[in-house]
Amino acid sequence: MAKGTHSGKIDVLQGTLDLMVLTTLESMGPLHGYGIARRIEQISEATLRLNEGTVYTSLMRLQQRGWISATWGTSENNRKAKYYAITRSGRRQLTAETQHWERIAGVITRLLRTVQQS
Amino acid sequence: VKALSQLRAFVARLRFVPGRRRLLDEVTKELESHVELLAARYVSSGMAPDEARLAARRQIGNTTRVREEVYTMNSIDWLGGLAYDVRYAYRLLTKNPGFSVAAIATLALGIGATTSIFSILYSVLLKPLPYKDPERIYSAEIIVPERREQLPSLPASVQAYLAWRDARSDFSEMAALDRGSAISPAMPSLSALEARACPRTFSRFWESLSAVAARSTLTRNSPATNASSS
Repeated sequence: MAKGTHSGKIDVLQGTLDLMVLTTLESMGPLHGYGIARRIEQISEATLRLNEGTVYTSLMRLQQRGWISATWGTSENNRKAKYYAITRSGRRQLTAETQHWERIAGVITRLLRTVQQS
Repeated sequence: VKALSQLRAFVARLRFVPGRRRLLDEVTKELESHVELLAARYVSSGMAPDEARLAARRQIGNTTRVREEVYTMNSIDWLGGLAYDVRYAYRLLTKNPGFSVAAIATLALGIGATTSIFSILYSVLLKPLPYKDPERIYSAEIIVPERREQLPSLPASVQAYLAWRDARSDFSEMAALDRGSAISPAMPSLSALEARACPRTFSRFWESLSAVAARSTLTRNSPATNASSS
């Protein structure tokens, strides 16, 4: 995280990639890995530095927890591609994780404000 | 609750173990097509193909590491190690069949012998007699002190038995026993001795052994003939 801001791009915070992938699948419906990477790039407006290969590690991890499922399908350009979709327990997990994240972010924001004021 | 969810996560991981090679191949294919799609995108925005490919590779990062992580995630280290050990042992055993047969036979004989010796010892010495208060049952034998060297103990004669039975003794009941079969004068509890399903030799062994154990308690009752018991 200390190296997070050099060259103007932010590294993906440890553990937040899974959350990003889950949110993307929740809002976009089934996608392949490349599509997920493009969507994250689009949303972050190129402020995020993401090694796109790590998306696949994340996808594997989420499958193991049963939060997403994978099926082979055909992509827009007629290639075979693996499509990932969020499952019901994945949605539950996303809600819980989002609340957790917002609480942490809220605490840190308040903390930083008090430091600035004093 | 945390331990439970960890256990569930572990069990969920197990489902991926058998297919881990296929999953690795699939991730490899996905990474390849990811690079191609990225490169095509750069080419369409005006980049030279070689340059586009390099840029795509840079953007996807270290694919070897991703593949390694995916594979490790789907394998359980000790399971892999165990499979390796079993395969190694199997190879050694088939390479050297003579030695294997000898080793396996030794083990089998050793285990078999130990088991049968224990079961004999158990039925002869350790297993309690199938009667109520087995520790109160004794066997009486005759010991002639001057001839103990040659004859440690003699079986009770009919005369001795009748004499002991009619005399007042420390025993509440008495019965005569001829090797495995008992002549039992109306004594319900001891007549059960007859029913004892025990090989003759072992029961004799047991009888003489018990005679030695209880000798001292009875010596004072009859100085000439020692009724011994156990």
